[in-house]
This record gives sequence, structure tokens and C-alpha cells, in this order.
Amino acid sequence: MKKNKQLQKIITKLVEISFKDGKIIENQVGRVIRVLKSQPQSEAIESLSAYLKALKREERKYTMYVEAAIPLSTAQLQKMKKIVDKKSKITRVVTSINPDILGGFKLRIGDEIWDETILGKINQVKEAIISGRYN
Amino acid sequence: MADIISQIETEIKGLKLKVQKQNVGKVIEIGDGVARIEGLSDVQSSELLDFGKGIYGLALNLEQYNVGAVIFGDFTKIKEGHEVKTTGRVLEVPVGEDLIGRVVDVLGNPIDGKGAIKSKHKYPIEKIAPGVITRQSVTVPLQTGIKAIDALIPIGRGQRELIIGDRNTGKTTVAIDTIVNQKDVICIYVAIGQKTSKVAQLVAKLEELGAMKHTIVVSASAADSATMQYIAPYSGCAIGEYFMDQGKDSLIVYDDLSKHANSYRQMSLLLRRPSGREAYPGDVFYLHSRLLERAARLNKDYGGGSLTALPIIETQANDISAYIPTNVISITDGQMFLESDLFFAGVRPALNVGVSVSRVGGAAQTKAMKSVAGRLKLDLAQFRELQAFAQFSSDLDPETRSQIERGRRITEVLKQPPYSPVLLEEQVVILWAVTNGYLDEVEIEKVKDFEQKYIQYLKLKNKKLLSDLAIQKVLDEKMLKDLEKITKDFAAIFMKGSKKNG
Repeated sequence: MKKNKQLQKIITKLVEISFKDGKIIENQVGRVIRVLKSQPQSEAIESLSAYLKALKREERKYTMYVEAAIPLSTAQLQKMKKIVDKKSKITRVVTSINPDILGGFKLRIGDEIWDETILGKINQVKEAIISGRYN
Repeated sequence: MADIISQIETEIKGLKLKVQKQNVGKVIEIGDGVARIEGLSDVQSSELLDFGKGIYGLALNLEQYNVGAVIFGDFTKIKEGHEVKTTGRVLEVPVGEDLIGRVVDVLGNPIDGKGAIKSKHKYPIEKIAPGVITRQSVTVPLQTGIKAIDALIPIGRGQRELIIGDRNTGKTTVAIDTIVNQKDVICIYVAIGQKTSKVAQLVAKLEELGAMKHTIVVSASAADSATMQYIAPYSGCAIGEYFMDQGKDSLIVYDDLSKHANSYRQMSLLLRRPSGREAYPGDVFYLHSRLLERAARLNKDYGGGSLTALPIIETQANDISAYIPTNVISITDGQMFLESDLFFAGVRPALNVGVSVSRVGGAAQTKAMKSVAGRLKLDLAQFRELQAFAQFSSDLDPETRSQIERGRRITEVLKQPPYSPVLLEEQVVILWAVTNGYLDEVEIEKVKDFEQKYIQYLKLKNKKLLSDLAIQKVLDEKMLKDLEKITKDFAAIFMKGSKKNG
């Protein structure tokens, strides 16, 4: 348990130094991996997997995932990025097409989701009808 | 039909749809009703989580990167990688008058097949107990209809009185008797980890006795998950608190808190919380103290309502010094200890009067009962001391012998069959008669017969006395004189009759 906590602390620091202005410093990541690899095998596996997980977690914070029913134009994406940038720094934009959401778009940054889809709105109406909160 | 559709349409038009901002996470581990979720960085402790497909959970362990949550309902549908959303709400249950007479599950859904419950209000299941300013001391009695309890261990409205004892000693029966005896008090019976058949029997019994009219049954049976059993008492308490806030008196029975502690232990161990004594988590005391502290009597400024709690604890081999029993004993305002030896000896309710106490109930006892209970306590205490010598009765001095005989008759009077509550005025007169020695000449086997006929005789000869006693709740000089005369007459008639019958 204690060992785990120590490892977590070290990993947090390693992840911190692997990022600069929301971007991954590839050289730094390579160096960290080399250091972690040099440990005894079992410890190396554990620490490497923890490092990679933490790295991905951190990367998600600076990535904006956009889900839309139809492809969005670059101008639209830029506008979105500009608005979101005011709240948190975005260095990467990932888009995906999902016709199931019917229309509108869904934004995801880190653990947060902004739902502006037609499907989300239908669900809101559905919930309001079921719970009788509409009056 | 068209009307309904157009109504819904107009209401939908008025609905303001907002951009939904949600905090999400991903299930990384699931099993035994407990999930570990990665993400959910904004989640609050005890927040309701939406697992989708109508499944909800409760966030309990908040760690740096993941959250430990318990799941309500069927967790087998949830898989690794499943998306979980925060709801921004805490767990709530529907409360209100509509629940009276119903059997509901922990989340307030009806399980008695009598249709949906249309309740306007919701209460959070976890709530901070009423503060010092809002409370007043316990002064109004809560009549249980059980002679031994009303006389020796009186319960007041707003009190927390523990019912403790081994299995099969009549703990539930005492609680049910109390529910049956209530007229203006709304009762909530919370079944935790019990057999569904037992709950069904109990509901049938309450219905048969006409007690379901003022009772709500909250059931988390043994088949329900540990999570459901864990929140059952809190959800029952929230339902009771509503009535208290409305200025009404309510009574809640937690049957039983040992199983509640067990389900909490299971949950805590699965959540990997550090375990302490008997593998219970460190906060098992707080688990019960925060629940029982919610029983209160509010002062007039806050409506004057009350919530009386009767928690039940099952002991193993009469050991009241185990971990959970001592915890709950220290939290409550007294305990009724039911003993298996007494139960098998035919003393039912099997109340051990020596160990049982009521710390605040004395202030709530009526004057009439107080006037007879003092003498009763003294006589019983003397009897207990001398009981060991009872088998040498022929060698004892007459005074000791008479004390033992008196004690035996008192014990006999205090016996009572289940589901037959006795009215306060009837309790007072029979206890008055036995403590004043009118039953000393009656054979022990005939004490029950004496009691029954005595009450009938009183009703026939001087019904006013009983009704006055019921209204005034005081035994004044005049009443005493009347009572003395009638009792003397009846005792003489009874003795004559019993001698004739041999």
C-alpha cells in the first residue's frame, strides 16, 4: 500500500515533467521510459503501466474530443476551440462522426462532457415527461 | 387521448432545454455490487451516479484518480469500460401521506402490488440530525400496550429505545405490539436483511390487526444487495422525518441493526476500506449514531413533531458486551433486554427487568402509571433478590415468603400474549391491585383469570372510573377509594368462586 503511494507520487512528478504548455515532450517521455525500464522486471512493468496510464490521463485534459452527426468545418472547430480555450488549454482536437446523435455536437475535455446534441435534448424531454417535472 | 397529447405538447413547448454539462468516468473494475470508476473528477461524496439503463450507484470512496461506488439494483448489466455520469443529486426517497399503508422498497418503489405511489415530496436519505435549538425534552409517553414496558421501562415520544436479545426471544413481537397499539402515531417498520416470507407474514399480521392503516413498511430483504440493506434505515428515517416535520408523531422500528452493520461491513470490505475490530470498518459507530440521532422531539416553533426510534439488535448467546450491541446501547436512551431463558420459562414478553432501563422515559410516564410503577419496581427488585431462596419456601420467615409470593404474582400479571395490547387505564388498575396485595390470596394459575374478570367487573360496575382514568391520567383520592371498594368486593367474589370450583 505504502509502496503504491510512493510510486504514484513519483509517477505524478514524471508526468508533470513530460508536459510543457499542454504538449507532450517526446524526448522527455523517451528518457523517462528508459529510466523506468532499467528497474527490475516486475517493478518496471508496474511503473511503466502506471506512467502510461497517467500520461494518457494528462493528455486527455488538453484534448478536445468533438462528436458530431456531420463533418464540421475547420472554421467551426476553430471557433469551438477558441471558446473552450478560455476555460482550459487545448492542444489537440479529435473529431468523430456519430450519426446516432441525430444533430448538434458533443464536446469532451478530460472528464467533462458538454452535450448539445439532439439525442441529448430528446432524452431531457423524456426525463421531464417521466418524472413529471415539466409542470 | 388527444387532450393528453396536446397537454404534453404545450408543456414540452414551455420546457427550457439547456446544454448539459456532465462529469463522466469509466468503470475499470466491477464485482459484488461495487464498482471502481476512473475519472469523475468533480464527483461529491454520497452523490448519485448514473450508470445508464436505469441503474444508479452511490459514490462512496473518493480517491485521487478513481472513485469507489456501490450499485443499486442489478450490477450484472454493467461491464468494464461502461460510462458513468454524475447527476449532481444526492439519493432521495419519496415521502408523504401516500406511503401510509404501503410496503415499499428502499428507494420508495411500491412492492405490494397496490399501484404507483404519487408522492409530491422527496427527502434526502442522509440528513444532519435536528440541532439543539430545534429540540425539546421528552415528556409525552408512547404507550406500547405492554404492561411490563409501560410500567417499568416507559418510552417517551422522541426517545430511542433499543430492543436487544437473542434470536427467537420476541424482539419483533414487542415492536409489532407497539405499532398495533398506536392510534395517532404514524409507524414505519424497516426490515433489514430479513426473509421475504417473514416480511410478508408480518404485513399480513399488521393488516389483520388493522395496523397497516397507520404503518409504512420499508423492506430490504436478504435477497437485496448489501447496498440496499445499508441504506434501508436511512430511507425509512427520511420517511419518518417528513411526518416529524409536519408536526406529527412518528415511530420507526429498525429490524435489525446487527444485519445493517453486517451489510455495511460487507460493503466496506469490498470497497477496500481498512477494517477494525471484528472486521467492521472504523466508522461503524458513526453509522448508527448518525441514524439514531435523527430521532427527536421538535419544539413548538418547529412544529412539535417527534420521531421515536426502536432499533433492534440481535445478540449471540445473550452477550450484550459484543461490539455492535455496546455501540448501540451507548447511543440509545435505554434498552429492553429480552432473555431466552425467561422466554422458555414462559415469561413473555421475556423482559429482563434488571438489565433493562429507560433513561428519559420516566419523565414521560403518566401520573397514574407513575403512582403504581414505583411500588411495582420496588416489589420486583425485592423479589429478584429473594428469588434464589424461593425453593426453600417452607423454611423462610413469613415476610420473606410473602414478598416472594407477591413477586410471583406480579411476574404473572406482567405476562402478556402477543398482539394484545392493554389500555393504559386497565394496566394501571391491575398493577394497582397486584401491588396492593389484592392478588396475594389468588393462586398463581388463576392470576390471568382474575385479571380478565377483574377488568370485566370494573367495566360493569364503574365504567366511569376507567374512562376518567383514561382522560385525566391521574389516580386521585376519590378514584382510589372507589377502586379499593370495587377491588375488595371483586376479590371476595373471586375467591368464593374459585373455592367453589375447587
